[in-house]
Order: sequence, then structure tokens, then C-alpha cells
Amino acid sequence: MKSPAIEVHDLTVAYRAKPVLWDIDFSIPEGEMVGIVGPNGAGKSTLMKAILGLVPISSGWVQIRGEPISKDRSSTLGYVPQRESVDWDFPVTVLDVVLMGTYGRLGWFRRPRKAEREWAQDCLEGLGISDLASRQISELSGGQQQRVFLARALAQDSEIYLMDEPFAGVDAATEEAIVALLKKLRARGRTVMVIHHDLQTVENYFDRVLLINLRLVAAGPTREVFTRENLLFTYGGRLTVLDEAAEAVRLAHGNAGNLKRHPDAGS
Amino acid sequence: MIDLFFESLFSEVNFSILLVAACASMACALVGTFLVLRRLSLLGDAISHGVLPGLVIGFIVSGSRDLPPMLIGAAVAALLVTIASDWLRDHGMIDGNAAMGVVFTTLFALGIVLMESHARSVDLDPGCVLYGQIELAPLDMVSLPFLETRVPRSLLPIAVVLIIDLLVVLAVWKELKICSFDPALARSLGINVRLVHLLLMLLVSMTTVACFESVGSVLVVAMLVVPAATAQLLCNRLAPMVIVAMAAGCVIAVVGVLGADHLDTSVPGMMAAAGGGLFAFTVVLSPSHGLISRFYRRTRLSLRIASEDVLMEMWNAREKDGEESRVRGRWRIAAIWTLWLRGWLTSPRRSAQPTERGTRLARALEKRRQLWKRFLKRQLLTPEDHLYDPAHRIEHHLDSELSERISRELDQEEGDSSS
Amino acid sequence: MPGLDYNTLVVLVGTVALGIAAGVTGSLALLRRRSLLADALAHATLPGVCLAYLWTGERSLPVLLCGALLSGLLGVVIVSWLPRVTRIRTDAAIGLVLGVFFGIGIALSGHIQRTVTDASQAGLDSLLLGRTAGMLFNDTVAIGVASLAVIGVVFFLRKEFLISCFDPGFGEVEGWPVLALDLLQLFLLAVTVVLALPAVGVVLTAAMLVIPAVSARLWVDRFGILMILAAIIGGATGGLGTLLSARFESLPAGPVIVLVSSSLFIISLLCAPRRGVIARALRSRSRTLNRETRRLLALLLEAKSRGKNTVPHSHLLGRERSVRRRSLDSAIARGWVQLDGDGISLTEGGHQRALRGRRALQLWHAYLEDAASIDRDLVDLDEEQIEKILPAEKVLELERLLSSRTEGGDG
Repeated sequence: MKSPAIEVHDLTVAYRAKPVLWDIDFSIPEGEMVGIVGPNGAGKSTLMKAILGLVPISSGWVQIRGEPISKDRSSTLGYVPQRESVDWDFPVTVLDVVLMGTYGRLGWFRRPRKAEREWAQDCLEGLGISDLASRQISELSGGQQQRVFLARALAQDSEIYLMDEPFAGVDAATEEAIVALLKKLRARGRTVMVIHHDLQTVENYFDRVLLINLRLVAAGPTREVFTRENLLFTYGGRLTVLDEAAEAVRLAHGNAGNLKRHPDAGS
Repeated sequence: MIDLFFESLFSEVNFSILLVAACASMACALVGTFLVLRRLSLLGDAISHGVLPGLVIGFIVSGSRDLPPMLIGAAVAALLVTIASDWLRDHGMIDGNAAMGVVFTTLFALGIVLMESHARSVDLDPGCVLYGQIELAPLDMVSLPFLETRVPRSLLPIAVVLIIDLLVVLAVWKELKICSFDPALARSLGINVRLVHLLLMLLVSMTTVACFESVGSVLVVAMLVVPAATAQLLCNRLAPMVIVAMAAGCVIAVVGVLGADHLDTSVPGMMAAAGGGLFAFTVVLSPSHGLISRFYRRTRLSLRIASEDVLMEMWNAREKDGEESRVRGRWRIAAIWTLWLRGWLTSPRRSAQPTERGTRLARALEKRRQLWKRFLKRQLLTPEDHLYDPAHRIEHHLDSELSERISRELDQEEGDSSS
Repeated sequence: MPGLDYNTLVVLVGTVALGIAAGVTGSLALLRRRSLLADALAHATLPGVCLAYLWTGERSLPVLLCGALLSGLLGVVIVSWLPRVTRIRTDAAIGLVLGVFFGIGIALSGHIQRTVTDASQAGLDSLLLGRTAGMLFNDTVAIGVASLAVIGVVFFLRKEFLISCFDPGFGEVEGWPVLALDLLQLFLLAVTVVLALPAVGVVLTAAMLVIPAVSARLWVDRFGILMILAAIIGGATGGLGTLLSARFESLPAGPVIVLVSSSLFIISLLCAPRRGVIARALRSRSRTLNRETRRLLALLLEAKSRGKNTVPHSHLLGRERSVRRRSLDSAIARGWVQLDGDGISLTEGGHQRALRGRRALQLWHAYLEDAASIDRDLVDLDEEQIEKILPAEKVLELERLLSSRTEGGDG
């Protein structure tokens, strides 16, 4: 039997003793488009970072295509971070950023050559911004920045893509371009996992949803899982008890560095 | 005997040095607290280096070592540092830290070049700017009109600045507090945030300039940050933080002066070293934020969880056997001893039984565990096989208030669904 | 070259090599917003120097610099450790390490001064403010080799440094050891600082690292080119400063080097093509001018449609009409507007231009209404940009929409 693209078992992630995700358990078959939906602070980004191996896991495990996450995950995992996570005044051009997607394949010391440049240019073409290639990134609009990030992910040519809010704050045209790209990726059999905020479009965009609020509320095909009842559970106020319990754990463990931001608060 | 000891400690020479040192570090600690809270700690570094050309120009223009012209020059240079680095950051597209770095190093270099090129007419050397001349304090005493005792001349500007700092901080306390905490809120409340910022910068400049003639620019940097950072580890509110910072400044001054006397070395250097020591001490020992207290709290918590787990296992063991223990090794032994010492177990052995009180506690814990399981199952539709683990972890943290809320919500829920 | 003796040549080579290395590592530090960490690092070297001296009892530069490197690295470690385990923030941690380490260094050197009566003690003092002129042939060779090593590492790892500076999270997903690369970068910074110490001294070392990088950043927008330009600026200012101080003997080289590079910084700040203050002021002026000119044309067009071909000055110029004299002049210069005695009227070209502007604006508003959400950064556009952005089929569609709407409005 083919192993699932992503399998997460009993995953708990704690930030400074405060649990931000409890016992998440799901698996995603290959070639599906998955939306992660939940209110602010529900741990969506943390879940994505845990899958990528960017935050330490307190308990449970994550497997990518039947294997634990390894150091060298460049060929399997593609990542689109939140737009705000980088300094957009950094001295690089659009093409430089997209070329970063090829660095993993290149390995140490080797420089991107003509083939990589052409490939990066193709990726820009795929998002309809090939004319921006030599622009400095500070000259881009918000929607263009997001397209550059997606072009970089495309340049990684991964099997599985994880995207942290690619639709946040983009214009209608960019949203259309991104959706078209996602559909193209799915047609090629790639797995795509997207953190999404707009509940209106969930049913149109995704085959499968994960509803998350500190715990996994529901996971499965969109038609079955994306129901009013589940959404109420996800967004309803009843979870405050869970949040308070998490807070109690944090307080009991001492709260040094309490001025530091929560990793999920975005940075 | 003790009197004699103190007398030798604080000879007249030492006492005047100590007086200058203490006043200087208190003034720095006072304004430094606001710098640290507003994440502007490095401004002290920038200002104390950047005032050099102002001093030198003041000296060249007046042709004497009189304080007023030098202080005016230095104050102008200090304001220039703040305004120029703010301007570069806001209008020059340059990272704030880098902007400060550019401005103060340039001014410092300018100061040194001026000093060297007027070497014949300027009786200043870079060393005295870096470490100050506090050792000379007892050699230049003046008598004040209303006081019996004579005080060092270099104390006068420091004392004046300390008093001004205190008065201004008290006068605009409310505004400083809200601007340090939340500038956006302050603006919405109609407070002129920019004016408050400039006022603070003015105080910092004045304090820096007044102090570093005695203690040098190095110590000014240290004294602006160290007492405030120490206080930050000890207090959670602004007013205590300011007081603790000033007290820490005093302690640092005393230890520094005595240490310098003892080791025969420079007073400002020794004070900075004492500051480092005090801070390291606080990092380790602070009751609320120290490393030891955090370690202690964590260990105590783990021990409590372990002993509660063991107690429940022992209590449950009467009913069912064969389940593997969750607590093993040294933790288990420690937990069993703890339980026995508290009187919840009959003996400190593996085969011990819960006492009367131990049974009561175990029952209460079991109730909470069941409550939490029920909550998770009903509210979150968690599958049965996932239930044990989280319930196990959370039950130790449910206080009675939270348990009651959960139980109320559950009851309501069940009432809803049955009706 | 006249007046360039052997000693000056030795110093010149040393300062140029130093400037190049400092430019390269300084750019990396600038991009990671670590400019003042370099300053703290420089100050934190002092106790190491003193302890190395006390321990070995001799003034051998390599030994002292090893001590400097170790205590500088300890300082950096504390700066990165404190904010993680306590509530102290990074800026306070930098200030704390800077002040306390330097204070300890001063206390130690005071102790040395009073206990060790030895002429060679001057060596410690010269580290405070630097003594470029004291550079010997061996020092220059050492600086040259170390600079080459630093530059070599950065050259071969430029791709890796780029990704770890720009987007560490992405780099980690790609499998790069981001933390190790970051530590390597800090180590290179520390090596550069230690090399610069004997030449320019503790306080001005930060300047050698920061100023060339900041100046270069004003001119260029590419990672690699930034480092090359910063290296060139660093090397050139190092050389120029040395020559100047050799020419005027009373001036110490360290501060002169810093002043030379600050002058270059001020020039860059003013004159850089895109980020320079002058260029930006001019751009903002011309934007305002364009906007006002558009507004002037629109006002005249409106008047014309009401049958007033010529509009008196006083109706157009002035605060409430938001058209200034110079916008009028620019419109006249472009031949869009002419003066008729006391009044102003549109020329034929101006009329066409005004019509085009109005149509573009209408299209744009229709587009904004049509599309649910729009890229917020694209709001202030002139007609040419609007025409470029809107695709042709969209324009046709919108025009249909517009005409139907005006008909509906009329009927």
C-alpha cells in the first residue's frame, strides 16, 4: 500500500511549556489539496512548522511519505512562509529569490547556472510575473511579493507543498493566479497544504480540510467535514476552557521570557 | 570594632569618591530604566561616545577646562546624536542600529582628530573621556554655602542633574509610563509622544554629559543599562523597577569603589565589573525570574505530578493490576518518599498503601481526570483511544474553579441535548 | 610616488586589506541587523586582551589577539543567550555586555598599569584607540592572510549566507544548517573585529564594519554587488585615510580612516541614485507635480464642458484648488496649457491629454468597483500606468459597463 504524503500521529507541540497543539492526528493522501482552517492563534502555523521540522515536537511523530523528517528534505518539501517573515528591503532581485528554490538541489558551493536561471524564469512565467525578474524586491506590491514566494516554491519542484496563508492580503487577480497554480500542481499529482482564512472559498479550493483549534476538531474530505456544526466547534467560544487549561500549564511551569512573542503570533 | 572597620573603609578620600559614584549611577539608573523599557539601551552607548567632539570644541572655544562651555558643547553633540540617528532611520532608509553606529563613531573619530590636532592647546586625552577622572574628586573640593562639609567639585553637576532627573520624571511620570508601555495608546490619548521622547533624550544627554566627566563614557553605558536590567529581573511594575534600579546603582557604586580601592585599579572599571557581578547574581537568584527559582519551580512541579501519578497508581492498583507504571526510576523513588513524608502513604516502599488522606486526594484527582475526559469527549469529539494521555497531563493543573466551570458547562450541554 | 616610504607602504597594505575584510563582514552584519553587535564585540575583547597579558606576561600581539577573540566570542554568546532565558531584550543585552566587559577590561588594565611597571604595557593602551602607525611587516602579513581567509570563506559560501540571511526558515526547510552558518558568520565578524583592534582601536572598530556597508547599501540593490562595493569602499577609505594621516603627521590614522569613510557616507546619502536623499526628494517632487498637473487639466476640462474655455488664474491657483504655480509652469512647458491674458486655457494637445486622463480614471474606478479586492499598493497611478496595467479585454468589458451605466443614468 502506498504510504500517505503526510502522516501526523499524536502530535503535541508546546511553546515554553504551554501546549499550543494537542494530540493532532491525521494523514493526507498524495495528490490532494488540503486547507487548514481555524481561528487566530489556533496553532495552524505551528502545525505547519512542526511538519517542516522547524519547531521541536513534545510528543508524537510526523512522517513524510512513510519516512520521518530528515535533514535533507529539499526534494520532498516545499515551503511558502508568511509574507511578513522576511525583510522586503533586502538587496536581492526577484530572480535571486526564485533561484533560492534551486539551492537545495545545487548543494554546497555550486552556483546557479544558466539552466537554473531559465528554470527560475519559467517558474516566474507560471505566475505571470516574468517581466518582474530583474526588479529589486522592495519595489513589489503585496500581491507581487506573494507571487514571488510561490514562484520560489515552484522552483523547488517538491512533491509536497506547505503554504502559510498565501491568500492573506492579496488582490483578486493574484488570488486567481495562485488558485490556478494550485490546481496545476494538483494535476501533476503534488500534495498541497494551505493555511486558509477565507471560509467562503474553502469549498471551492480544497479537496480536504483540517479544522484546527489547539486540537484537531475534524479532518477529512471537504464535503463531509466542512459542516456548520464542525465550524461552530472550531470557532465557538467553548474552547476557552482548553485555552485556560493551557495557560494553567504554562503558569505552573514558570513564565520566564513571558514578554517574548508566541511563535504562532507571526513575525 | 565595627566602627573602626567602617572608618577605614570609608576614609574621607573614599567617601567623596563614593558620593560622586553613587550619585552618578543613581542618575544613570533612573533614566536608564526608561531607555531599557523603550528598547533604546544602545542610545546610551551612542550618546556617551558621540559627545566627545562637543567637549573638545567647548574646550577649544573657551580655552579653559571650565565645565560650563564643555557641558554645553557636549549637550549639543548629544542631542545631535539622537536627532541625527532618528533622522537617518526615518528618512535615510537605514536600519536604526546601523544609523546610530554611523553617527556616534563618526563623531567620536571627529573628536579624537580635533583633540590630536589641537594637542598643544587642549589638555585632554582620550583616556580621560573613556574612564573619567573620579579618582581626582577628593583633590578638588569646594564648600557649599549652606553646608558645613566640603564636597568634591565634580559632584555638583551630577547632583544637579540627579535632582533635575528626579523632578522631571516625577512631573511627567504618567506620560513616561504610558509612552514606554504603549506609544500608540499614548498617541490616541492625546499625549505628545514625540515631545516625551525628546524630553527623555534630553534627560539622557544631560545625565550622560554630567556623569562622564567623572566616570567616563564606558561606565555611563554600563550604568544606563545594568541597574535597569537587574531591576527588570526583579520587578513587574514600573515604580518598584525605578526604585530597585536606583538602589542597584548605589550598591554597584559602593562595591565598585571599595573593590577598586582594594585591588588598586580604576573605579569606573571596577563599578562596571561590580554591575556585571550583580546582574549575574540576579540572573541566577532572582526570586521570580532567576534561573534557580525557575529550576526549583519546575522540579517541584514535576515532583508533584510524579507523586500524584504514583499515588493514583497505588490507589488504582487495589482495583486492577498489570498496568505499567508511568513514573519510573529516580522520579518514582523521589515521588514515593515525598508521598510518605506528606503522610499520604503508609511507608516509603513500593508496596506501600495510601493512607486515609492519600485516598481522599487520589479520589479527588480521579474525579478531575474523569471530568476532563468527559469534557474532551463531548466538546471536541475526541476518539476514545486518544483520551488517556491529555487527560493525564491536564488533571494536575485543573484548579477547583476551572473544574467547576467545566462541570457546569458539561451539565448545561447535557441538559440541552436531553431536552 | 613621492613621500611613500617603506613604513607607510606596510601600513597602507594592512589598512587596505583590513578595510576590504571589514566591508565584506560588515555587509553581512548589516543585513542581519547586527551593526551594533559588532560594537559590543569590539568592546568585549578588552578583558581577553588583559587576561592574556596577565597570564602570559608578555606583549605578543598574536597571544593578545587570541585572548581578544575568545572574550569577544564569549560576549556574543551572552548577548544571544540572555534574551532566550530571561526577559532581558537584545538591545539591553548588547548594552550590558558592552559596558560590563569593557569595564572589566579597564579595571584589569588599571590593575596591570599599577602593578606591572613595564614599558611594553603601552601595547594594551594602544588597543583602546588603535595605533595604525605601529603596524609592522609581520602584522601586515597576518592581517592580509586573515583578510584573504575571511573573504575566501564568504566568497565560497555566498549562496549559503544569502539564504541564511534572507529567509532562515526557508533555508532550514531546504536542509541548510542555518544555525551553523549563522555562527560561522559571527565568527568571521569576530575575526575581523580582532584584526581591526590594533589598527583602529576598540571604539572605532564598529565604524570600519558599519560605515562602508551602509554607504554601499545606498548605491546598490544586489547582495553580491553590495559586498563587493562595501569591500571597495572599505579598502579605499582605509588606504586614503592612511595616506592622509601619513601626510599630516599629527593625525592618528584610525580616526582619519573613519572620517574619510563618513564623508563618503554623507556623499552617498545625498547623491545615491535611488535611495539618496536628493533623488528621493526629486522623485517625490515630480510625483506631486504630475498629480497637480493632472488635476489642473481635469479642472480646465470641466470648465470647458461648462462652456468656459478660459479660466482666470485666481480660480485655479491657490490652496483650496491644490494647484501650485510650478504645476502650471510645467503644464505650459509641455504645451498642454496656454495663457490667454489673465486666464488659462487648454491647448488641443492638452484637451486630448485631459480626455485621456479622465477616461483612464473612469476605467480605473470601474475596475475597482468590479474587482472585489485590489492590490493596495497600486492606488496612486497616472493614466499611462493604468492603461498598462489593465488588460485589453478588461478595458473593453469595462467600457461596455461604463457606457451602459451612463445610458442607464441618463434614461
